[in-house]
Amino acid sequence: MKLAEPLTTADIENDNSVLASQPPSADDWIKPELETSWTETYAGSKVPSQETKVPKAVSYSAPINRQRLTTPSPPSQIKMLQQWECVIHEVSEECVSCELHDLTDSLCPTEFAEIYVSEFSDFDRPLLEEGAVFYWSVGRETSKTGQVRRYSELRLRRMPPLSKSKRREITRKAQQLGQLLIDSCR
Amino acid sequence: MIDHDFEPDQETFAIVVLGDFNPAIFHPAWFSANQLLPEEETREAEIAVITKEVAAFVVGNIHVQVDPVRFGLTTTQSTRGPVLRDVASGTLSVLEHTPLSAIGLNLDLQFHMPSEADWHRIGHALAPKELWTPFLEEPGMRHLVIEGTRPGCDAQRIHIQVQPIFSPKWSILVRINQHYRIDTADRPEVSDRHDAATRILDRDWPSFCSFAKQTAAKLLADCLQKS
Repeated sequence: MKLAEPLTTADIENDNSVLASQPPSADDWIKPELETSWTETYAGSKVPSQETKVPKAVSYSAPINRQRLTTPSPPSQIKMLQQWECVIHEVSEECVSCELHDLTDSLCPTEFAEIYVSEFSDFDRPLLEEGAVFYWSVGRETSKTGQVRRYSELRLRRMPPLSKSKRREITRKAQQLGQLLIDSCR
Repeated sequence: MIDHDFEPDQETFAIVVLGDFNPAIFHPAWFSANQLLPEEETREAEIAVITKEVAAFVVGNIHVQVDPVRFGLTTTQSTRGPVLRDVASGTLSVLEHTPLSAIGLNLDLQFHMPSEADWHRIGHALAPKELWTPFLEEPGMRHLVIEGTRPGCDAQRIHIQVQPIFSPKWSILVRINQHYRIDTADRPEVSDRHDAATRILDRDWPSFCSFAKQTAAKLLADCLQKS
C-alpha cells in the first residue's frame, strides 16, 4: 500500500486548503502534528508542552479560522543578499551619515555611507537622529509571475521608552560604577 | 568531490517565549502605542482573533500569536529577522512584570535539492536504511531530530530537525530550535529572568541565525559528500 505523502509545515504554508482536502484520519502522518498543537492550551484541559519551537498553531489550530492563522505565501519572494545595521552619525536636511555594520558577514569591515532622507519611509523620518539605528536590506525580489526586481529597504529600529524601574536600575548601576572609578583613583 | 553551495529557498524566523501572558492586551494598536511598530503598519494589520484565551494577527509581515502560556512571533520575510528580535525584546521590556520561564529561537530553512537522487541521498546519509530493510520494504526517512548543545552558547539544548518536503518537489526542510530555560534557581526574581531573556535576544539572536544557516547548508553538503 502506498502511503500518502506526509503533511509538512511548508505544504500548509503553501496551500491553506491542504488540510481540508486530506482528512486527518486518512493519514497517520498528520496525526502527530495535530496532536501537539496549541489547541490543547485553548481547550484548557491539558498541560501545554514546554517547547519553544515554532508553535504548531502557526500552521494548524483547529478552533480558529486556520486560513487566517496560516503563514500565507507572500505576493513576492525576497532573496536577501546583504543586510547592514546602521548607526546614524549625523542628520542634515537632505542626508543621513551613518556607520554600517554588516549583518550578513560579521567579518566584513565597518563601512560609512550617506543616504538621502527621501529614501526613508515617511513614518521613519521623525525618528532620524544621531545614535538611532536602522537596518538596510538589499536583495532580489521575485514576483509570483517570476519578474525579478532589485530590492532595498530601510527600516528604523524601534524600542519602547525605558520604564521608571529600569531607569532607576540603570542609574543605580551607573552610580555603582562611578563610585568604583572614584575609589580606584584615590 | 561534490561541491554544493546550498542556499535556502525560504526562511522562517520565529521567537517563542513561555510565561504567563494575557492575550487580550495584545492588539496591533498596543504595539504602536508602545513604539514597537509604526502606527501606519499596525493600522493595516490583519486580525484573526483577539480574545482572553488567544490573540493572533499579522502586522508588518510578522505573525503574532499569544496564548496564556506562550508568546510567539514568526516571519517568513528574510529581511525582517532583526525587526522580529527588536519587537520581541521590546515587548518583554514593556511587560517587565510578566513571569517568564523559557525562550526559544527558531529558524526553518527550506532547500531545493538539485535532483531526486540528491534528495534521496540526504535521507540515506542521515538515516542509513540497512537497519530497517529487515523490517520494512522501501524504508524512507520522514523526520529526524538530533538534540545537542554547542560550545559558547548558554542554551540548554539545540534541536536540529530534518524532513523531506514533497511540494515543491525534492525539497528538504531543516528546522533549528535553540531552547533556553530561564526560570532557573539562580534567577529567582522576575526581573532577573527578564534580563536573561533580553540578553539572549540581543546577544544570541544574530549568532543563532548565522549558526542555523551555516549548519543547515553544511549538513546537506556533507550528506551529499558522504553518500
